[in-house]
Amino acid sequence: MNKRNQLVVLTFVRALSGFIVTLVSGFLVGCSNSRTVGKEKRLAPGNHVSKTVMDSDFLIPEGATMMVDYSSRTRYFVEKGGALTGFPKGVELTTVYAEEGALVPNLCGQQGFAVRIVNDATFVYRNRHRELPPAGIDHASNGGGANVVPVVGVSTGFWGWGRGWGWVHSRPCSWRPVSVRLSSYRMSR
Amino acid sequence: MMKIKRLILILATLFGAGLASGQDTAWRGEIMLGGGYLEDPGKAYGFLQARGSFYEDDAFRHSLFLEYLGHVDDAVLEFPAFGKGGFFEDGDITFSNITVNYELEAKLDFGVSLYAGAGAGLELISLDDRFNFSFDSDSNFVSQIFAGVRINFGPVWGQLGLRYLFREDFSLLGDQFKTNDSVAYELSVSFEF
Repeated sequence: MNKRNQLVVLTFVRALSGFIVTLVSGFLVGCSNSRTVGKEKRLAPGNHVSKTVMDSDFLIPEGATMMVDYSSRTRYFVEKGGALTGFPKGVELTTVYAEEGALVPNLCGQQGFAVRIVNDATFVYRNRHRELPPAGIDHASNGGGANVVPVVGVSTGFWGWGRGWGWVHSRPCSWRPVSVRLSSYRMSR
Repeated sequence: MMKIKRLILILATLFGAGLASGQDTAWRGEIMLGGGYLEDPGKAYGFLQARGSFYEDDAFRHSLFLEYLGHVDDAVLEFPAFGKGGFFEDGDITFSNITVNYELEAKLDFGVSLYAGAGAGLELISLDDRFNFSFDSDSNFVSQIFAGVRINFGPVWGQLGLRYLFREDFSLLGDQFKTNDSVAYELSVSFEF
């Protein structure tokens, strides 16, 4: 084999190995996108899809929608006008801190899932490491660290937290909606 | 009331036209499965029919069938929050039409036939959260007329059709919602037994 042939073969082998490395990297990146672990992020407005989310904190601002298939040990902070949907594959040890007017899923009866109403989701998100318990841990039973005090209406499950912003426990199954908005039908009065 | 009168008139016309040329009587059963698109509110629907032909000759076939037709739409439920305002959750609203229908089929050549008919029944409306826990429901009179073309592929029939649904307004959680009568386009297959 002369020198020119060797060069051609070498070039071919390099190109092939480059292609394979690119292919494998692409595959690995593709897989990792479907699994979000240990992420702390403020989402940009728009739609965001994550198949599996674990050990993460997400702030969902107004105009952003996050769709999740499965969530574990994760906290979501949803501003008014933000939306969190999905969970068809289940949820565990997950807490949602939502402002009034946020769209959150009703996972009534699911173990390890709680929705708290907060006055300022961004403020809660910023202070999550100092003041919040880990995801899925019941605030009421969390005596250590944070200063947890009931404010008003304890019997109805309304609790305050530190600096005057409040949150409530998940909606009891017995609660009934007071009104409904339908996407395709207008009220006739 | 006008809708009921109109429906009875259509049924009587179809039934009379078919029987005028009828000669034989043969019961034949069919199961039909199909889906379509409801123009208003712009949603897909599915339907299942249990059909029986009770009068048939070379030119016409008369059938009666029981139909379930359903579609789902999105809803946002508002719950009262402590203090001012409320909080919102995803939900859905399910429309289930259960109707009894009469159909006249005119047989053409090459296994192709035209059909037309009408029916009436109940529209059951249910407002659920995303785990199908029902919060409220309503029921209304619903009627429909339909027509289309049917093609025979041995024991299986393929059907392309149009239907017009006459619907009533409904009420949920104390609010009245307006519905519009709507055209629907559909495709279906049926199996004889």
